[in-house]
Amino acid sequence: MDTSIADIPVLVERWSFESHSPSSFDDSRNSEDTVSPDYSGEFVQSSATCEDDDLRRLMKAMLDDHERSFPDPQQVAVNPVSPPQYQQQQEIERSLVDFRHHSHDERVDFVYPELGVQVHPWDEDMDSIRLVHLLLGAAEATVCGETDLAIAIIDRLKSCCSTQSGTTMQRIAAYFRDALNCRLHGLKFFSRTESQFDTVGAFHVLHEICPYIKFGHFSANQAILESVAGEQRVHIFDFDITDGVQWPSLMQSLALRAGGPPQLKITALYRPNSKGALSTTQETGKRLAACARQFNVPFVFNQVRVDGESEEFLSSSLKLIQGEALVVNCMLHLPHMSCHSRDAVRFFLGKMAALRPRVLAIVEEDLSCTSTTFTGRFHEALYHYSTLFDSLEATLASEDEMRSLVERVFLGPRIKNTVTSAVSRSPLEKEAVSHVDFSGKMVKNRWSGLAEAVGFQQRSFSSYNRCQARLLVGLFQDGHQIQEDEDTMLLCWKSRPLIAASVWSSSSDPA
Amino acid sequence: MMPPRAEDNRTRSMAASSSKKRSLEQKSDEQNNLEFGKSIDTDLSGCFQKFIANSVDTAGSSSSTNWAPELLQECAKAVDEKDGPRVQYLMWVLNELSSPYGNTEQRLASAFLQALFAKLTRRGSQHYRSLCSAAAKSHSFASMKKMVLKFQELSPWMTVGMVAANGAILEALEGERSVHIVDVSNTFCTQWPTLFEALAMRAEHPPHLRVTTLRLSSREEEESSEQVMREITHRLEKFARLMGIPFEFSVLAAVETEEIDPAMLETRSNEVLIVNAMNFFQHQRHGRPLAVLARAVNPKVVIVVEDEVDLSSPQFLTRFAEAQRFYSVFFESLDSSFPRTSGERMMLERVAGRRIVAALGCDDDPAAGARPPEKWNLAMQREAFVPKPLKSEVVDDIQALLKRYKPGWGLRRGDIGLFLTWKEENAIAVTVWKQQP
Repeated sequence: MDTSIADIPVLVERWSFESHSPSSFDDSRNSEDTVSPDYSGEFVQSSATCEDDDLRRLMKAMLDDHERSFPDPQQVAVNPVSPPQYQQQQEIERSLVDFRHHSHDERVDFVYPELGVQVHPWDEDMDSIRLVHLLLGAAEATVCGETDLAIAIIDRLKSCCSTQSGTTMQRIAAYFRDALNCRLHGLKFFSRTESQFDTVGAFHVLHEICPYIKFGHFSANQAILESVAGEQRVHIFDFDITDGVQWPSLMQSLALRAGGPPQLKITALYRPNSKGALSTTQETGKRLAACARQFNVPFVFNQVRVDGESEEFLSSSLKLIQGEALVVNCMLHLPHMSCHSRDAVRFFLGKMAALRPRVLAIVEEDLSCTSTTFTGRFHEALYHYSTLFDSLEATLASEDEMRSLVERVFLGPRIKNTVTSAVSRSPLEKEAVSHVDFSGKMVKNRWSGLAEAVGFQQRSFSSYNRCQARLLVGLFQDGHQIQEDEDTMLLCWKSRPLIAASVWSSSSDPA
Repeated sequence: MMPPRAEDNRTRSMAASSSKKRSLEQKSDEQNNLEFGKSIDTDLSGCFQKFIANSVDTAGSSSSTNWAPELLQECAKAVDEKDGPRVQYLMWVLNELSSPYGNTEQRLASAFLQALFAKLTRRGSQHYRSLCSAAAKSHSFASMKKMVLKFQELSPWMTVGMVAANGAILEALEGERSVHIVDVSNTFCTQWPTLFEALAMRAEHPPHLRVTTLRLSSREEEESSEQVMREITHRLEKFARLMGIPFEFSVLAAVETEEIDPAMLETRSNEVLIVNAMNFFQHQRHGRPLAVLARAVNPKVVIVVEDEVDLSSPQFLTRFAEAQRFYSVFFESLDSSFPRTSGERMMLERVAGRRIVAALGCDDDPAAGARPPEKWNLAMQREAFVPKPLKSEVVDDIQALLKRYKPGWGLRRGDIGLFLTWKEENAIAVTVWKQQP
C-alpha cells in the first residue's frame, strides 16, 4: 500500500506523544468500537483494542497533512513563503516535538498592570464567578438600554481583567467586555484585521496542535469517501473552503482506493468581499490543483461567486454534469473561519437540497444559531467560548505566546462578531439571566437543524468513522473526548461540546 | 419559586473549569438542597468581608453617573420576588460597582447593598446590632458631637430646624414668665446657645428658662454620654449666666420611651411647657409613644423637626423606593457640602447606612412589628394636635441662614409646615403643633 510503515519509528518519535504510541494505547478509550480497514464501511467484529495498523495509517495521514502545511526547506524557494514566516513555522515544528502535558500552575497572586498594585490573593473561583456576573450584568444593561449602568460595569471590568494577562477566565472576560463595548457604541464587527503573517501562524497552531479542525475534516472526509465508493466522477461543493486544508488527505485516500481515483471536481463559493481570509479562493484552487497533480487525481476547480450579505447565487452557476456524484461539504464557524449569517446558510442548504446530493457533511461549532434573548445568547456564547479557551489553554499550556496569538487572531474577533450581531427578539431580557435553559447537553437550534428544515435527513456515521474520530482525538491533549448525541458526533472538552459533526442526505434516499 | 440550580451550576462549572479546584462544585451540590435564604447565606455571608475588602481598589473610579437608581431597584425587586439566581447575580454586580470610598453614587449603592445583604441573610437585626456596637466602639460620644458640629457648620440640614424651632419657641415665650422646654433631640444641645442670645437681645426681662433634655440612647452609650452631658451642662449654664438668663438644666436618659413617666419631667404649675423634638435619622420608632407623652404634659406648643421620609409602609419595595429617594438627597447634599475625604462625612454616611439597614433589612426583628416606624408629625395629628404656621419673620431668618451655605438649598411651604429642600427635593419637615382647642 504505502512505504511508510517502515518509517513508523521515525514518525512516532517525531510526534513525541509518549503516551500515545501504538503499543501503549489505552484500552479504555476505544472499547466498544472496532476498526475495519475497509473504506466501504463494513466492519468486522474483533477484539477490544483497535488495530495498530489503523492507528499508524491515521498518524501517517495526519503527518502528511502536517508536511503539506510545512513545506521542505528545498521548496521554500519555490513556495512564496517569506523567511520570517518560515522561521515561525520552524519554531512551531520544534515545539510540536517538545510538546508535553503540563499541569497548569494555580495562579493566586497577580498584578493589575493598570493599578500597579498587587491585589490580595482573591480566590480564583470567586474571581471567575464575579467576572461572569459582571459580564451578564453588562450584557443585560446593554440590551435594555441602560447605558450608564453598562458603561459603569464595563469600566469596572476594564480595571480587573485584560486580554493579555491573568487567568483564562479573566482573558475571556476581557474579550467579551471589549465586544460589549463595541456593541454599546453601535459598532458592528466586520472582519479580522490581523496581519496575514499572524493569521497564518495562528491557523497552523490551531490546525496542528488542537483537534478541532482535524476532527471536522477527518469525519467529513471519511463520510464523503464512504458515500462515493465506486463512483467515477465526484463533485464536491464546498460552502467555505478557506484554504482548502481539508482536501489533500481526501485526494490521497481517493488516489489510493481500489480501482483508482475518480475524476474530482471541487466547486467553492467565492466571496469577493471577505477580508482577512487565510488565502483567496483562487490561491486555494491553485494549491489544490498542484496537490491533485501530485496524487495523479484528475482535478478541476471551480468558483461560484456570491454576492452581499445574503450570499445568494444561481444554481446555473454550478456546472453540474450528468452522472457525477454530488457531495456537499459545509464547515461552519470553526474557530478559524469567518462568520456567515443564518440566511446565507439556509439559502445554501436550500439550493443544495434541490440538487439531491449523495451526502451533506456539516461540521459546526456547537453553539446555537439563534436565541430569543440577547442575554441568553450571550450566556451561551460565554459558556461555549470559555470551554474553547480552556481547551486551548490546556493544549498549549506552556506556550503562552502561541495561545495568545490564537486568542487574539481568531477567538477575539469571533467573540466580537457573536456579541455585536446577536439580535434580541424578546422583551423578556431581564428574565433571561436566571432562566436560561441549559437542560441537558443538547444545544437547541444547531445550524445543522437548518438542513432538516430544507428537507435533508440525518444519517449516522459509520462505526469506522466513529472509531477513527476517537483514535484521532486520543492523539491530542488529554481531556478531549468524542461523545455522541444520537447521530451527531461531538468533540468535547471535559464533557462540554465544542464541535458537532453530522451527515445528511436527501430524504427518500436509502441510508 | 424558581429553583436556581441550572444557572448556578452552569456559572459555577464555567468558573471552576478555569481552575483545578473542585471544592466549589461540591459546594454547589449542597446548596441545591437548601432553601433560598440559606443558600444565599452560605454563598454571600462568607464573602461579605471579601466584598468590602475588594471594593477598596475602586475608590475614585467610575466616571459614569446615574447607574445606581435602576440597578438598586432591580436588586430590590429581585430580593422581594425571592428570585435566587437573579439576586445573586445582581448583588455581585452591585458589589463590584459600589464602594464606600467612591463617588456619591457608589457610596449610596454601598449603603443599600449592606441593607439588602442584611435582608437576605434574614438575620438583619443581628447585623444591625453588630454595626451599632462596632460604631459605638470606634466612635466616642465626643467624636459624635464633633461630627454634629461640623455637619451644622457645612450644611443647613440641622441648623434650619433649630432656627425654626427657636423662632417658634420665642413666639410661644412672649409674655411668659417661666418656661419649661422638654427637649427630645439628638443635637447635643447645640440649639440652646442661639436661643439664649436671642432672649438676651430682647428688650424685656428674659423669662426663667428650664430645659429638660431627654436622651434616648442605647445602654452601651450611657457611660460615655453621661460624661459628655455633664460637660454640656456645665457649658450651657456658664453661657446662660453670661447672657443673663436664669437657667436650669437637667438630663433624663432612657432607652425606651415607655420608661419615661410624665411625672419624671417634674412639671410645675406656673410654667409654660414647650416640647422641642428634633429627630434626625432616628428610625422614627418612638413616634407614637412620644406623641402620647407630649399630650400628657399639656404643652403650649410642640415643635417637630424631622427627616422628610416615610418608612412606615409594610411593603418592602415601597420602603425601598422611599429610602432610595430620601437618602440620595441626603448623600448628594453631603457631597456638595463636605470635601471628598472628610472623616465627618464618612461618619454621617455610616449613620445613614445603619438607618437604611434598620429600615430595610430588619424584617426579622420581632419588635419592629409591634412598633412600626411612624413619622412624628403624623403621630401628632393622631393625638389631636393641630398645626400652627410659622411667623414670617422666622421664615425670613431661615432664608438668611440658607444664604450662608452653598447654593442648592431652598424652602417650601407645605400644608402643615415648612420644608427645607435640596435641589427642589424635600429634605426636612418643620412643623409646629398646638393642642386642639
